[in-house]
Amino acid sequence: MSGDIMIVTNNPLAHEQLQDKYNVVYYELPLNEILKVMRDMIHAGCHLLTHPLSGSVKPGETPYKSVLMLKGPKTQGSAGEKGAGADSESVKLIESALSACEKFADKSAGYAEKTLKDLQLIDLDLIKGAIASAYI
Amino acid sequence: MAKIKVVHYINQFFANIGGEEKADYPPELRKGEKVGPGMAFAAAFGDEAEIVGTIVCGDSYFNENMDKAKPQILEMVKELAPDVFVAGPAFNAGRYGVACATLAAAVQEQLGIPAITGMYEENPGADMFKDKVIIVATKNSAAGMRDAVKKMAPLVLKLGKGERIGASIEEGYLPGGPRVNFFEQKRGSERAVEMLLKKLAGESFVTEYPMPVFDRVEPNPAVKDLAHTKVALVTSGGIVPKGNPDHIESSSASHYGEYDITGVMDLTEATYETAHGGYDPVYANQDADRVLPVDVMRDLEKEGVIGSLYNKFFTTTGNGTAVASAKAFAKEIAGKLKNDGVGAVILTST
Amino acid sequence: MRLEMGHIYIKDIQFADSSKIENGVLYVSREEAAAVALEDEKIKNVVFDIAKPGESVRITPVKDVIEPRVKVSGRGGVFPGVLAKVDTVGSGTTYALKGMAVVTAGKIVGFQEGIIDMSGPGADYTPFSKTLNLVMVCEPQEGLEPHEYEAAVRFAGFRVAAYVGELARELTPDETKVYETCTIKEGLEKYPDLPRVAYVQMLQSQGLLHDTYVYGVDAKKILPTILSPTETMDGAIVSGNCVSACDKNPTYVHQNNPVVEDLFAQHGKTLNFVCQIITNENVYLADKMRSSDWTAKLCAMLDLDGAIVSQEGFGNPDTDLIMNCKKIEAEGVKTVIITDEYAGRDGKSQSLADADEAADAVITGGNANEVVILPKMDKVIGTLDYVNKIAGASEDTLRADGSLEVELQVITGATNETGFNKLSAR
Repeated sequence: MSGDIMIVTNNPLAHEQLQDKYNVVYYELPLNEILKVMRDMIHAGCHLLTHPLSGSVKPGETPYKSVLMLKGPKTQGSAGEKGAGADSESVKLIESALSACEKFADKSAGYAEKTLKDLQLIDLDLIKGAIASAYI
Repeated sequence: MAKIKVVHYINQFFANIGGEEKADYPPELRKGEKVGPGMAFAAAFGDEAEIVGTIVCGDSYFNENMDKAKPQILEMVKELAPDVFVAGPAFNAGRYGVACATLAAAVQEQLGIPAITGMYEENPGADMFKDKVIIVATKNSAAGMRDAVKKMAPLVLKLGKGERIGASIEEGYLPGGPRVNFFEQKRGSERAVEMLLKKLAGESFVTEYPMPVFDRVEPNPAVKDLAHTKVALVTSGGIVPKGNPDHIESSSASHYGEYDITGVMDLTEATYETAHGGYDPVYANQDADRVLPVDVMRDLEKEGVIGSLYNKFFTTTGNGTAVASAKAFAKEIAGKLKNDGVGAVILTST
Repeated sequence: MRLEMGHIYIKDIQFADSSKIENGVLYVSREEAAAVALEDEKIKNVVFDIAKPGESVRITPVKDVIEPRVKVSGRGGVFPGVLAKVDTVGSGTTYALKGMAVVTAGKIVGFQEGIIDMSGPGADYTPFSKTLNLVMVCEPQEGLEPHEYEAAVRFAGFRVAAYVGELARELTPDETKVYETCTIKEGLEKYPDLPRVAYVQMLQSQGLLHDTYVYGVDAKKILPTILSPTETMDGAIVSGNCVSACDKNPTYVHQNNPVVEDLFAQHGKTLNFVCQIITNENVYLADKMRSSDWTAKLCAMLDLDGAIVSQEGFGNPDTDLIMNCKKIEAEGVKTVIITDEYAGRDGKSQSLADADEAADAVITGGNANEVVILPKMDKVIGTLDYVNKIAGASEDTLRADGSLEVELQVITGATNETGFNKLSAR
C-alpha cells in the first residue's frame, strides 16, 4: 500500500527529510497554490488521507502544508466506483481549505528564517504523526 | 456637529396618496419634506438627524418597472447626498418590502451610503436581502410603527455617525448578515446545558449559529433510452431573445421567460443575448449557445443521440435571485415540462 | 466517585523571602520558585513577575495557564501521570487556589500568539485578566529544539503550580464543594426519570505544539474513552497546546472545565450526568473516522439521551466536530455542540470549515477574526516580538498612538470552545 501513498508538500524540510523513504511530491509554491495543486490531483483521482487544514497555525501564519494522498481510487469504502471521478469527501475538504485561506490576512511575509524553520518543523511533525497512523 | 442627513423612502399608502388603486404612482421626490412615518422618525431623531427629503413610489410601479424605477430613485438619493438612507418600514406588505430592501441594498452598494429598512420577518424582501442590508424586525402590521421607529431610529443615528453596529440580537435586526460578536448574559457552557435540556424536552430553541442550508437533490436515475427522449434546455444564465422582451431583471429576478425555439438551429448575436448582470456578458452576447447550447442539441437531435429537443426553453437570471423565488419558478417550469412529455432536462448555469 | 474541592481564595500575590499563604495572600520566594523551575537543565533562566487585574500590563506570548492545586487525601496526586505517578484521581479531597493562576510565557516558536491584557478592552475578552497571575518567563538553553523546549516549559509550569499549591496543604478551605458521580447502575436507580447526558470533549491532538495529555498519555494515541468528570476536575487532562491562542484549552480550562461544572450543577435535578467521553482531533482522516465512530458507539452503549460536544482549535477539528455530531445524532442521542467561528474580519465568510444539518443546536464563542484595538500598556511581561510582527503585517495594525489592531484570535481564551466565556456572535 505504501507505494500508492505520497506526500504532497511545499515544505522544504519535509521534502528534505522524507524524500528518501517516501514518495514526496514537492513544489516550491505559496500555501494557496500548493492547495490548488492538491485540488487538481484530487480531480485527477487522488484521495486525501490527511486533513488539508491540519494544525491550528492559521493560513496566513504558516506558508507550509503537507498532506498524505493516495493515488487512484480509494480501496476502502468506494469499491466499484472506479472511474467515478473525484472523491467527493476529498473535494469538499480541499475546497473548504481553499476558502478558509481567503479569510486570513497574510502575516507570513518577512518572517525571520528561524520562524520559517519553526513552521517547517511543525508541519513536518504533523505529517510524521499521520505517517505513523498510516503505517507506511 | 452638523445634523445627520437622512433620505426616507415610502410607498403611496404611507404617503397618504391611496391604496392599491394608486399603486402605479411613479417615483416622486419631495425635497425638504417629511411624510407619514417620517414624522415619527424626525421626532425620534431629535436634534441629531433630519430628514432632508422623502421619496414616494407606488408598490406596483416599482415592482413592475424595477429596471427604470431603481436607477431613477438612486439618482434622487444621490442628488440629496444623505448620510443615511431609510426605507419603510414595510411590515408585512410584500411588494413594499421588496422595494424597500432592494433600494436599501442598492443605495448601500452602489452609492456607498449606509442604509436601513424594516419589515416583518416573513416579508419576502427580508429573505432576499437580510444578508445584504440591515433589516429591522418589525411586527406584521402598521400597528407596530412606534415599535419599529423606536428600534430603527437609534440604528440610523449609529450608521450616520459611523459607529459600530452590534449583533442582530442586541440591535433587533434580522440575523443572516455578517456575524457580529457580543457578550451574552451567561457563559457558553451554561447556554449549552440549557439548550440541551430544551432539545431533550422537545421545546423550541434557537441555535446560535444556523448551519448553512444545503438543499440536496438526489439525482434521478440515468435516462435509459436517450434516443427516444425529448430533452429540454433550462438556464439560470439569463439567455433571452434580443431586447429582453419580458424584462427579466439582471439580478434578483422576479420572473422567468419561456421562449419558443421551433426551427431555431443556432443562437446568434443578432437574435439572442443575456440579461444576466453577474458575469461579463461579452461572450454570451457574441454567441448565446455558449450558455444555452441549442446548436449542439440540434446536432445531437440530427445524429439521433437524443429523441428531440423540446421546442421551448425556460430562462431566468440566477444572480442574487432568492432561493424561494427560484424554487417557485422551478415548480412551475417542471409542471410545464412534464405536461409536454419532456423526459430529460439540461440545466445550465453560469 | 466523590471529590471534595476545597477552595482557598487568593486575594493578593507578593514576592517575599520565603513562600507561604497567609490570610489569603500568597507570598512567593523568587529564589525557591526559580529553583523549582530550573530543576530541568533545559531551562537556562526563569524570571517571575506578578500581574494583577486592572493593571496596565500585557503578558505575551502566553503558553499555558495553570491553577495551583494540592491533593490532600485520596488516590493520586497533582497532575497524575505527568508529575505525580499514574493513579486514578477524581476522589478524595483536593484544594485549589482560587482567583489566581500560574502563567507560563515566553517564546517557544517564532509565530507564537497568546496575549493577556490585565486592563482595557483586551481584558474583557480573556478570562485570565480576572485572575492574579504569577507569570514565569522561561529562557531555553541554546540549540534546544522547539519540541524539547515546549516540553520543558510545560513541565516547569506544572512543577511551579504544584509547588505553589503545596503551600495550601495545611490550610482550611474558605469553601468546600462536593461533586459526586454515580455508577451506571446507581444512576439508573437514583434518577430513573432524568435524561442521561454525557459531555463529549474533543482534545487537541494534531502533533507538535498541538497536543493534550490524559494521565500523561498523548491524546492522539488514545481511542475515545470514558472518564468520571471528577477526574477532569482533579487534573487528569493537561495542555501541551501552544497554538491558536483564542480557542486552545489551557490546563486551567481543563481543571475548571465549565461544561463539567454546569452539567454537575444540574446533576440529579434536571439531568443525570452519566460521564465524560474524551476523543481526539487527529490529522489522519482514518483516525477521525475511527474516533468519531467510537464516540458515537460509546454514546449508544451508555444509553444516553443527550450529549454536549466541545471542540478545541481551528480548521481540522471542525471536521471532527461535525463527524461526532452527525454520528451521535444518528444514534438517536440529541447533541448541542460548542464551537467558535472564523467568519473573516467582516463577518461575511463561512464560519466553519464543515457543516451538517444534524448540527441544529450550536453554541458559539464568537468570531475569532473580529478586529479589536488593544491600547498600549505601561508594562509588558514576556516579549512583544511576535505582537510587533503582527503589527508589522499591515500598515494599519500598529497605530500612531502605539495601540494595536489585532484579530481576537491572538487573545488567550477569547473564543474558548468549552463555553468558558460570555462572548458569542449572531
